[in-house]
Amino acid sequence: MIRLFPCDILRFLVVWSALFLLQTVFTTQPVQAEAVNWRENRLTPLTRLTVGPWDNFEGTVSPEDTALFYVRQSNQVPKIYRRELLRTDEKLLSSLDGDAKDPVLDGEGGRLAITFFGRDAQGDVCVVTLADGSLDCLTTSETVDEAPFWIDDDHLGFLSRVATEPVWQLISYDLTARSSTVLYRGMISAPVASPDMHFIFFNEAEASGVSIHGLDLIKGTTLIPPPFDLPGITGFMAFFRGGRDLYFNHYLNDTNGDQVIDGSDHSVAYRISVDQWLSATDPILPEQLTAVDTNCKFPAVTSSNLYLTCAFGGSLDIYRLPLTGAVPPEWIESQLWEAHEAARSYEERLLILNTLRYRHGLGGTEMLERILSNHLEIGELSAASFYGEQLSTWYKEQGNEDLANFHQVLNLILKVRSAKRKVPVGLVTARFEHQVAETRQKISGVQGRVNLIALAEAYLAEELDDHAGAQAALKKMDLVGAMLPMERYLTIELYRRILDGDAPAQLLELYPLVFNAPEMSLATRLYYAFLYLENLERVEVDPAKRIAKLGGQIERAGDSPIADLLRSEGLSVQLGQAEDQKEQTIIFKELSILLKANQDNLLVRRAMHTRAIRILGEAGRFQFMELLSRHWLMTTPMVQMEFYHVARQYALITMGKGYGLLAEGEPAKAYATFYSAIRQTNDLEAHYQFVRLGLDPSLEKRENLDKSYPLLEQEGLIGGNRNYVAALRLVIEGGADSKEQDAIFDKALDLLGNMDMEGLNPGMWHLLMGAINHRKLRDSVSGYRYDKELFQKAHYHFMMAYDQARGNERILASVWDNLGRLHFEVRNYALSATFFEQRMHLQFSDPGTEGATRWAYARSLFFINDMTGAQVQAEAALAAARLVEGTDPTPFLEKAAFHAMQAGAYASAAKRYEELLNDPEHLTGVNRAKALLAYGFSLKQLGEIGKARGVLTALLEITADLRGEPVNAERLIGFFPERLEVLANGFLAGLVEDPKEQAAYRLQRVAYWEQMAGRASELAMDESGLLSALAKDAQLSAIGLEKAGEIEQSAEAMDRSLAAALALVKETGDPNGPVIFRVLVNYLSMGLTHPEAYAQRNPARLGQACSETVQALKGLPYRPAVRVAQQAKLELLWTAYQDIVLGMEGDPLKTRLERVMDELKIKGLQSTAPSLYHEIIELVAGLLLGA
Amino acid sequence: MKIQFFTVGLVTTCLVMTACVQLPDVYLIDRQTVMESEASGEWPELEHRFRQEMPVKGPEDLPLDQPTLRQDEQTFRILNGEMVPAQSSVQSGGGPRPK
Repeated sequence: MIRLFPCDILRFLVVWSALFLLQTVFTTQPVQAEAVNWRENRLTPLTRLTVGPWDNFEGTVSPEDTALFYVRQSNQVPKIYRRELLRTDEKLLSSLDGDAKDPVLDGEGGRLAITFFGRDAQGDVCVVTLADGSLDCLTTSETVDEAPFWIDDDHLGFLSRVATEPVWQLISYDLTARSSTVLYRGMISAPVASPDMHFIFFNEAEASGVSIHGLDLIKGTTLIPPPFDLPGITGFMAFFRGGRDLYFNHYLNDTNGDQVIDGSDHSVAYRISVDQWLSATDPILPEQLTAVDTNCKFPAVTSSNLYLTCAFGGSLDIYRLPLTGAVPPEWIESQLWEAHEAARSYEERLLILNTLRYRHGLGGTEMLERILSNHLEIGELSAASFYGEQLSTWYKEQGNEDLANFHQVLNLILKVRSAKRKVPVGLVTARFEHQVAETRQKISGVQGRVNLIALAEAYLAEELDDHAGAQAALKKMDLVGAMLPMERYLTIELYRRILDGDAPAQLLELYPLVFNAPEMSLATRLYYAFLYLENLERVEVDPAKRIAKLGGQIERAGDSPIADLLRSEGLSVQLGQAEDQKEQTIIFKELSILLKANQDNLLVRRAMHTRAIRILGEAGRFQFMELLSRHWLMTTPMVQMEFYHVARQYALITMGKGYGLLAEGEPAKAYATFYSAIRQTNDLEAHYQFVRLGLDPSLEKRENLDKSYPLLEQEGLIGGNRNYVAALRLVIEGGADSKEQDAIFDKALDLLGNMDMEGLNPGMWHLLMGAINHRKLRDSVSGYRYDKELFQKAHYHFMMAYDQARGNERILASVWDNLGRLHFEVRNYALSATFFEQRMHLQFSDPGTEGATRWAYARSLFFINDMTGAQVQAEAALAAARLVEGTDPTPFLEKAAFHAMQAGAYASAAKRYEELLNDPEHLTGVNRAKALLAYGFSLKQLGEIGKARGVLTALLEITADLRGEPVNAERLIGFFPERLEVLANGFLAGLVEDPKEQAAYRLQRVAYWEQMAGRASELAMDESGLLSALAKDAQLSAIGLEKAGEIEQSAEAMDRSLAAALALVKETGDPNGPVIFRVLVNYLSMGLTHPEAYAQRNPARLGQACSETVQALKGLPYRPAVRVAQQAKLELLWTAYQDIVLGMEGDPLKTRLERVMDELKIKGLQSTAPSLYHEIIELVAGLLLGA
Repeated sequence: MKIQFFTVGLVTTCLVMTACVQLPDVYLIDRQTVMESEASGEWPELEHRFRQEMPVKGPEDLPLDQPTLRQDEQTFRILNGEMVPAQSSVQSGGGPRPK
């Protein structure tokens, strides 16, 4: 018990009041009216049009932007698909009966030119008329033909070559005259024609490299346009239909490290005015439209939009952008610089810098230095070299030897680093060493400063894996004095490479040399201060020592934002450690003052808040973490582009807080937290949770929910998201019956379809759309039939939800679960398993959910034959189910047993079945019977004969009480208890040693097969399989009865076997199959052994059967030795049977047997198949003995 | 005439019969379906409950630790500044290009 004195009470009240006030200040800031739509105040994101998991690429679009044709590659097979852009459904272009690629629509959108492989594996160029699907192939199998493009309505261009030659011909094909004209020859690719029929451009590979060449169709001349002021090579091109802009993708850099810039590298989309381009005298800078990290190519252009194939997010897909690309055209120069400051990736920065160069003509060395810096940061060495060379030349012209020499040396280093990427890891080849030696030679000829030469030597040593040599060279550098910014950057980056893994503490001495260096920009100083803090956190675990080290650095940093960042770090660490609430309040107040003092600088604000939030989050001080997140939001003006990112972080942290409260069993507080997220960010995820909790009867928040939305609407805070909320409420509240539910789903879809989405987390919209379509799909299922359009829609929306989740694990968990179940329900078991596997990488909210998901995953794995995987998941599902209070684990136990049995893990299976069957109340009826069967089988496999017999016998005792279940729309195979009996009898026959007992079990099976003859499909068997099983069981019974001395019964069984074999012959139309042959041989052999029992058994039937089989063997077009031997055996046995069993009169048996031998030329087998020959000789000897 | 009438009648009958005759659905049952049917228990209530719970309409309430800071690293990303020497300059109009 805490005893409080009056003073303590007063102090307590003061502290809590202060804390409350602080919270109030940070939580009740009035929401600012929106002057700028902050959600759109950023680079235009790519709009995804196709979804995976397959690759979709090479899009072509109808002139009105209504239909998209593209290639989908699934299992290495490329097919053409069509998607209506106003809907989500897509269709295979089914008129094509072969692989196809390179689709290109004509100007009217009525014909699709393609490269088609259906008639020629090398490819033909064909035209599909879309109205009727007819295919017109223009080329033959004599040539390799590809890359079609429209020149005009009557002429189609394409590339063609003879298979044995590398040189391509550029063909113009007249579709009316059906004739070709060769326009050009060369190593060419990616041709395109301008809509005004003036130009054709293509890439040509020559000794000097790949460049764009062209044909002027009006003048009839070839032309080589000026190069672009870009590193790398151009890829595919497309003309804007309405004018003379050329869109293209360009490979700037060797991103995959194979030392070649080609189509395998990352690509960027550009456009250029053809008139400007062709009239330029110098290399011309085109307009950059996308960032390199989106890796876009295959441009297609309509009058309104640009379509690109981009490779990020796990697959190739087709995306759409405005014609002006990702940077809004209305942004003025100051906005571009603002975007540059707010950028969250170097790739984005490069896009913005190049836009500044293109749109606002900003040039000069500063721009090139900036671009070079960003390329270096993302490791684009060849692109960095390109700009470095320009800078070297430029500085030389300006007479700045220092910088000219620096860039000259830098380029040499970059070339070496680039070459190193081709060398296997851990090796230094002789060739590479030679290159380094040559580079050293070149560098020695440069008049560089000591620092520069030492830096170069350090890099070269490091590339030779000589870390000691590199460090020795670095130590020669004077890092205290003035350095070029790039020099200092390269130095510290080399130190990071060497020390970060093994000796990070040493970096703590070096980072201050950067963040205190006056020549470095504030952004760079903040970056290295940030790295210092991260490193310090890693190296110095003791908070007190950490704070002490920070103190020393604060002094060195003097009066600067860097010092404030370090102070803020120290305060955050202290706050994380403070236990006393009063102390926390004081520290937090001090931190707040510091943050406020730096709130005008975007970068400082970002750095300080980010570090503070991280530290407090890790220390578990979530309340302060959330306060700081809100503070960051409140101090970022909504009109700034930075606001979008800050709103995102606030949404993440607030949502995290909400989920944390839910996990702590505080749903009412969570409800309030989600509400605050809605107010600030209009986050769809927050809406979802707010509505879900509001409709939960146990919380009694319904009235509050009903009042909240009109208020939010009034304040203009939810906009178009009102439709999402309305649809969600409809779906959650549901309907009484399926008809009402159907109407609800349709209404919800209508609301969602007519919605202007706003706010954060647009993936939630797709998740709800997918879920509704999935429910409708389920209602459409009848047997194996289902509505394929609904399936496509559900899949599409779930995949879009995945795409837009942007790493939100909570949404991803639902997406993977839904996709796994969706694909299972339509029997795409492999895809289903793939999606469930993705789900397994994430946590589960509770064991109940985990159990359900692993149950479904186990089933998917079972259906793709991954039995061991299924067993693992079933065991995990059982373990999870056992953690859920009140859950009966019996079903999970049964599945664990079943999957173990399927996986061949019989010991585990037996253990689980024993546990399952222990309590007779636990498992009854059909489930008990199936469990007994599986248990018995498992015991049999383990060799536990006695136990197995007991279990299987117990099964036979209960099957009589079981009822069969016929086939219906939901049950695709009928259930027959007799089938369990058949299996049990078969297992028991293998477990007993007494032949009479064995025969008895087998005869039970024979009786069942005879009963089911003609109805095999009800058992999911085919008739021939059933008859084979019957014949086999009857023979085995006969053998057993013969051993037991029951000859008459044995003969009876053989008769049944023969009847079954003859029925099989009739079923299959094959009189010389293995079953009839074996049955006849066995029948005749048995008859010869016990002639009295067989003499009266329908000899005519037997004789006819033998005769037909012999005739069939005789009539085979190809008679290898084994077939001759089969015929001989049968004829010999029948001949002897007739003599011995049927008592036929005539020549002596020996003569007759010899006659058979002669007719069949058995002697010939002595040399060609001696083993068969001896077998027959022994048979004859045996037959004569018996005679 | 009789033959013509008969032929027309026969053709009409065939057409009508064709319309009445419905081809059965043909299914190919895989081994796994048969194995499940024979040896795996049926739990319709549990399966029904699972189906009712799925598909999920919204995010799963995962108990993530520090999820927010891992989920979206880009939001919290600090980029390095650009290494521009004091002597460099910005020129409008592209500026003279090195030859």
